[in-house]
Amino acid sequence: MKTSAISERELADGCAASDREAQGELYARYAARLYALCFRYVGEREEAQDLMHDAMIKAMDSFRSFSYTGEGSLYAWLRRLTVNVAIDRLRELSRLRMVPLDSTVEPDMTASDDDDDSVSLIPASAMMDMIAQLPSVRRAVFNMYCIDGFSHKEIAAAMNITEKGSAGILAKARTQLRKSVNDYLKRSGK
Amino acid sequence: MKDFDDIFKERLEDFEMKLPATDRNAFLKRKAAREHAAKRRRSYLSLAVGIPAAAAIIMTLFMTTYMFTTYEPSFVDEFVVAEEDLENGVVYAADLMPEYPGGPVAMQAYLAKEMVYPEWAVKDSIQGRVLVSFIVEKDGSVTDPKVLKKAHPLLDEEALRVVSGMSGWNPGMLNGDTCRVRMTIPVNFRLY
Repeated sequence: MKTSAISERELADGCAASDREAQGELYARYAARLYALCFRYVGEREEAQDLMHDAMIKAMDSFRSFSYTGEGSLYAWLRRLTVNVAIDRLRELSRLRMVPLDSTVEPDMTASDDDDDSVSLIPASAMMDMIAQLPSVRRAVFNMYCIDGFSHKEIAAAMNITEKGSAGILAKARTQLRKSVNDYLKRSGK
Repeated sequence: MKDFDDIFKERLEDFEMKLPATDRNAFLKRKAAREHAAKRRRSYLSLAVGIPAAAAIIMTLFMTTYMFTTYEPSFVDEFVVAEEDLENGVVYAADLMPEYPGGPVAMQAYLAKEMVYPEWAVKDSIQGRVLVSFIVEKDGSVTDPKVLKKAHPLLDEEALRVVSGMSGWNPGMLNGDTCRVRMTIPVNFRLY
């Protein structure tokens, strides 16, 4: 989508004033990325699109609580907002069941040493699918910790689990993803 | 282990997934529906508070509304229409928007030539600007004309009449095919 060249700060100011053009520009710039983010959390396209719309509407309505703090701060704010919307939706849909406390952190299963290099060969869309295949809780924790920059403390608060529980779930998520990665690499003969 | 996470993060944190072509229209429709509901909620709230005063104000507004409605078309007005539109395959933002042959200048010229200033409006010096919304069909004809912003009943009627008479538009295009597009144009009535 063609976007104009206005600066991030100008865009934020425009949206805070509920200017239609600024809102349109906001959508043009960020919809596709926020859609991908939502897909990472809910694993299906229609749901993800729905969620992205909700997040965009919420963002446009609550722009007064955003303060521009430098290049990239707008995207960061949008990301946080969208993750919160996604987590709320997962909770609503009861796909985020109460997770039993894990008192010990499971050790990570590392398959082989040269995995890390091969991972870079996998296309991003395949990685998105691997994440989509995780069960909803693991998906949420992995996304929040590894990609969207939440701490275990924040994850624990958002999902009503303990920090140790969060770490344990993360370990399981990594294990499952490693397996998916290895399977993918095997299938594509690398 | 850190590398594994980092690779996922690097590749996916700015990843863009392609949205369907109809997405923007779907979004605008959702936004409008949300604003419409919020407006309704807000108006229920104000009715519950201070009913006597509200009743007096409402009655006055009602009477003046009858005489001439001059509300600005909001996002809501335009896109409440969108509810039916989207069901019937009408879009608001096509890849290539419809164009009147000769462009907007030619369109204004056509309207000015065809428009007949209502006699009584002339006598009473009634001026105004009417916003008319309509669909440009795949064959370039104009259908479903609606007044989006009224000025005066006489002017509104003439605006509708003259817009309905337009045809021969170059239709809008979406994904390589012609499509039905809803457009809005102002019709100005000026005496002086």
